[in-house]
Amino acid sequence: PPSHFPEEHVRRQNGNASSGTEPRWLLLCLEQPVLSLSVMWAKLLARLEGRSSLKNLEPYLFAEEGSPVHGDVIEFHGPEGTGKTEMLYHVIARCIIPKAEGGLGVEVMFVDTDYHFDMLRLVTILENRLAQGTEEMIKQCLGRLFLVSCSSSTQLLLTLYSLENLFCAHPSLCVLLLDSLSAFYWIDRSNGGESLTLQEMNLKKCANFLEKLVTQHHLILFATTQTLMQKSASSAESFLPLKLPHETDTDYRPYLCKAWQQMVTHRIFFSKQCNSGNSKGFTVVSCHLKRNQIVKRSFNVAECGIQF
Amino acid sequence: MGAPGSGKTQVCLGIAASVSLGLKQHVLFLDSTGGFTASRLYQMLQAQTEDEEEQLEALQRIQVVRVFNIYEVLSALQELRDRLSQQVVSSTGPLKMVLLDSVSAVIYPLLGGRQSEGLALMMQLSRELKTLAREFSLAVVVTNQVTRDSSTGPLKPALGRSWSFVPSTRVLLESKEGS
Repeated sequence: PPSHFPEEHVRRQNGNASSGTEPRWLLLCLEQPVLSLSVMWAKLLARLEGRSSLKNLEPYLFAEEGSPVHGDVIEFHGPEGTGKTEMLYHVIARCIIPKAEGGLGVEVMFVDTDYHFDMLRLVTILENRLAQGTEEMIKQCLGRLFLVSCSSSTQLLLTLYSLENLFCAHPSLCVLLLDSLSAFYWIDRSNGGESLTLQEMNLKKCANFLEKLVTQHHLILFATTQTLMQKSASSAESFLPLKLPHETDTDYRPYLCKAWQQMVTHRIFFSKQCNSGNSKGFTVVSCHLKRNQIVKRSFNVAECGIQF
Repeated sequence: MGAPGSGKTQVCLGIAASVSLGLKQHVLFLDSTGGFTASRLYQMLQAQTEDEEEQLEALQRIQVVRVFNIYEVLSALQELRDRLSQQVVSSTGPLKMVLLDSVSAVIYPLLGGRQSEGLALMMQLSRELKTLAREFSLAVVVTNQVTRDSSTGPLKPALGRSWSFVPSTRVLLESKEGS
C-alpha cells in the first residue's frame, strides 16, 4: 500500500542534500501513488462484487437469512461419517460453478490436513450439477479451486503464512476451507508434554493467523473439527460460563484452544439419523453464536452431492 | 474390520495375489500377527493361473515384512518412503499397495495408561500411511478388530473415535452363522 509515500517523499526532500537525480525521483514518486491507487480501487471493486453474491451460498445451512457474510467463521463439528467433508464438496461446487450455470463463480482455497480430499468425488458432483458436463466446463470450474495438503501443525502454520500472497493476488478468492482443524490434536498434545500452553501453541498461532487472514482479506472460513472425545457425563463440569442450549443437546465437548473457540461465528453440528426402514439421512443443527439462534435441518447424500 | 476368524487375513492375501498377478504391481505386506503363510498365497495363485512362470513372478512381486510393534511398522514405512523417494529402479519395481495386517495388534498395547502418548503414536502411524498414499499414489489396506458397546449393540471398529476418522472406506467382514 502506497499510503506512506507522500510523507516519505516530503521527509526526504527536506532532509537530503540536493542532488542531480532529485527531480526525476520526485516525478517517479508522484506517479507511483496514482498508479497504486487505481490498482487498489480495482481490487476494492472486485472485492465488493464478490462480496454481495455469497449470501446465496447455502441458505439451508444457516440459522439466519443473509448468511454467510464476509468475515464469518463457520465450524462443522461431528463424529465420523456424518457428512462434514461431503458438505465441503457441496460448498466447493456452489462456489466454483459459474454464474451462468447457477453457481457463484468465485475462487476457493481448500487446505487438506486429513488427506481425505477425493477429486473423483468432486468431479462426479460437478458432472451431475452442470447442465453440460463437458471436460472443458469441468476444467474451467476446477481452475477456480486451489488445493494444498499439510501433514503437521507446523506445516499448516507455514502454509497459512505463505498463502497470504495468494489472497493478495487473487481478489476473487474469498472462501477458505480447512478439513480438518483437529487433525493434529493428539500429536500436538503429546509433543507439548505437560504444558497446556506448549500443546496448544501451534493451533493457537494458526487460529490467530486465520483470524487475521479472514478480516484482512474479507474471507469466509469453513473449518471442520472432529468429535474426538465423549461429552463428559457430569453436567456440573461446564467449560463455558453460559451453557448454550445447543451444547446440552448435542455431543459437543470443546477441546480445541480458546483462540479458536472465540473466533467461531457459526457452529454447525452434524449427526447421522438412523431411521428404521427409511434411508439413512443426516441432520445439521446450525447455531448462530452471537444471536443465539438455532435451526435444525436434514439432508441426504446423493450422486450429485448433498440435497436438503 | 471383523471379528477373529472372519477372514481378514485371507482377504488380504487374496488382494495381494490379485494385485500382483492380475495387475502386475508390487505389493508390500506388513504382517504383525504372524498370520501370513506363503503356501496359502501360493495356493491362491495356483487357483488363478496355471502358468508356473507367472506364479513365480507374482510371488516375487510381493514383499513381506514381519513387524511386531509400532516402531517396526514405522521403520518399515520409513524404509519404504526412502526407497520410493529415490526411485530406485530395481527388481522391486514400482510399488502400488501396502497391506497392514493388523493395525489393532500393534496399537492396542499403546492405548490405556499414558493416554495421549499412545494416541499420538497411533495418529503418527495414520499420518505416515496417508502421506505415503497421497504422495506416491498407493493403495493402503489395514485390518482392524471390532468391539461392541454392549452385548447387543452394533459392531463398531476397534481403536476408538480418533482412529475412526482415519480410513476413507470401511469394509465389515462377518462370518455367516452355520447353515
